[in-house]
Amino acid sequence: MISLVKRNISLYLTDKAGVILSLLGAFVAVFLVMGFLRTALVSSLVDGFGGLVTQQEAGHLLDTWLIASASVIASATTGLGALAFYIRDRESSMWRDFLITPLRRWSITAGYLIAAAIISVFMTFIVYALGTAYCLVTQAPLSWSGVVEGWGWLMLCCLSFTCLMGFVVSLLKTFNAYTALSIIVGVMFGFLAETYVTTAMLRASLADVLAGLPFAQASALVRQPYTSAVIASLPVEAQQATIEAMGISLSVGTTPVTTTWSVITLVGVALMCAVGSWLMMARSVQR
Amino acid sequence: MTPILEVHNLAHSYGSIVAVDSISFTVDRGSVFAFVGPNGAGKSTSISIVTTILSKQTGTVAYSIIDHDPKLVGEDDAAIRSRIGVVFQDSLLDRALSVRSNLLTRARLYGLDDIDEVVKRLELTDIVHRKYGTLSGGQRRRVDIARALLTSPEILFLDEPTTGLDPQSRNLVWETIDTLRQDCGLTVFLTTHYMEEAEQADMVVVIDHGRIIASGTPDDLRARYSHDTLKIRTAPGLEEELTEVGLGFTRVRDVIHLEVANSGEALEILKSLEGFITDFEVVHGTMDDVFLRLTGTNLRED
Repeated sequence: MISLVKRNISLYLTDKAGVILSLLGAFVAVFLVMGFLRTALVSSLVDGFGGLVTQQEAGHLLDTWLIASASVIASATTGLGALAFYIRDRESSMWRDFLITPLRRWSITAGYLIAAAIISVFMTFIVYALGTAYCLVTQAPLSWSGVVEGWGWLMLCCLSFTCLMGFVVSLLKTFNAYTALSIIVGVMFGFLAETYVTTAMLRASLADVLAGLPFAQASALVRQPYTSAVIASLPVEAQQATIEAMGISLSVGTTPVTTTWSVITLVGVALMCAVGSWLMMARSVQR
Repeated sequence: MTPILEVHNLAHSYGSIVAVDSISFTVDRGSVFAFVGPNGAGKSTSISIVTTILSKQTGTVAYSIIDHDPKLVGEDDAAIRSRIGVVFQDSLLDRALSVRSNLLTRARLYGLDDIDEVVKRLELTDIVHRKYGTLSGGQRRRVDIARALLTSPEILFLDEPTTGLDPQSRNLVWETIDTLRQDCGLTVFLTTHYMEEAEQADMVVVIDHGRIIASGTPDDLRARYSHDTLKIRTAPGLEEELTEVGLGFTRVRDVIHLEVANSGEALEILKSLEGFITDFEVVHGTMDDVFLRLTGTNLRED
């Protein structure tokens, strides 16, 4: 199976344009916000806090928040990107060549999922590292323990969302359907993870629904440690409001979504989807 | 000869469509066995079951491999898979990877690490670092065969191995297979569209609509299902003479065609027509004739 995982990873890496585009896809939200919306967003943050925070503080908050959010989106989109080979192999029934080996059926599907998870971790790390480098250049306050903790949660995100994507992909039969899915996932994730639209901009009922889903929870998990130093540097009066408005901590109604709750959700998604995708993939491999 | 593969009453259906309808055959060790039939005849389904890719529904498939201890498909699949080699009709190696990494990846799936022997045996040393996708059709086929030989199989399955290849590459592939047979005593199980390839087999089984409609050596089949043709260039008075002695014939342009049982009969006819002969030839029945006769059709192409 290790050999199959290696094969899937090397196939992914051979397609250099694909790798670069996948990274660009993860960065596109960051580029758009930084390039076109940064000034407006920073001004609205400053105005929103009634002058409590400075332009520079608001800028740092926006940057760190965006890097954390973009990394979470990347954990899902890069995992999905790495599953392209499952669909390609499915279309060409490539795995007949694996079925004639003594390899067990389940390990063929596990080979795709594990390779995708490893690729997702690798690519998300690049996004996170480049983002962190940017924050360092702009001298945004970062705590190293927060950065490391954020990375820990990101690895959980990679695992969980790769399994989720694996399950969705296992339901598809053609590469065209997969391409369409990729476009939808990129956009949907931005919204569901409360990145394109922040909690404060949502209706309360919708914010409650999103807070109950794994996407916003994953974002909150990473945002909390990653923005902790920036938040701590803000005036005390502004801290709690920022945390709530920007989805750094979530609540469903009046019940706060705790770290334990989020971890259980993500682990649950990983387990259920891993079993689901394994069953679905194993069925199609048999055919 | 001892059998290496015995198939009894193998049947397989997809829903209400019967793909393979109770077929039985035996493949002798060291022989070339040709499985011939039009597309949709049930060849692919049969070969998929025999090579353990598709789960068996009814019937038995028994291999006498590994110390001649019988191994049954459906029960000893892992053991069987480690002793058979399969060359698929559509190449199933990764085009973006090099020949070497393709072979290494597949070798490791069998717990093997050494690909040097097959690389040397199939003379792939010059192309081993090239990407599989950049190779010519014939080169790709040789790599496919190398992949199938990784396990040093006792039986090699070749599913339409030369379809889509130019005549030169086709010959090269056949030379490779012949050498392997002579050097290693490999048993070859072949499915093919090309009747001239079936001609080289020790045993031919013709399948249509999921059933075996004939089997035997190419000589057997030709004797049973085809006839020789005596072709004589027309000469003044020849047609009248033939009509007079009551011999049936057809005329294709300026050549008279007569069906004969064998060359002896042709010789007798030639003697009786001596004054009329300027040019003649006796053409033996071909496997194409056999196929035409058996299936009532030419090979159904894709």
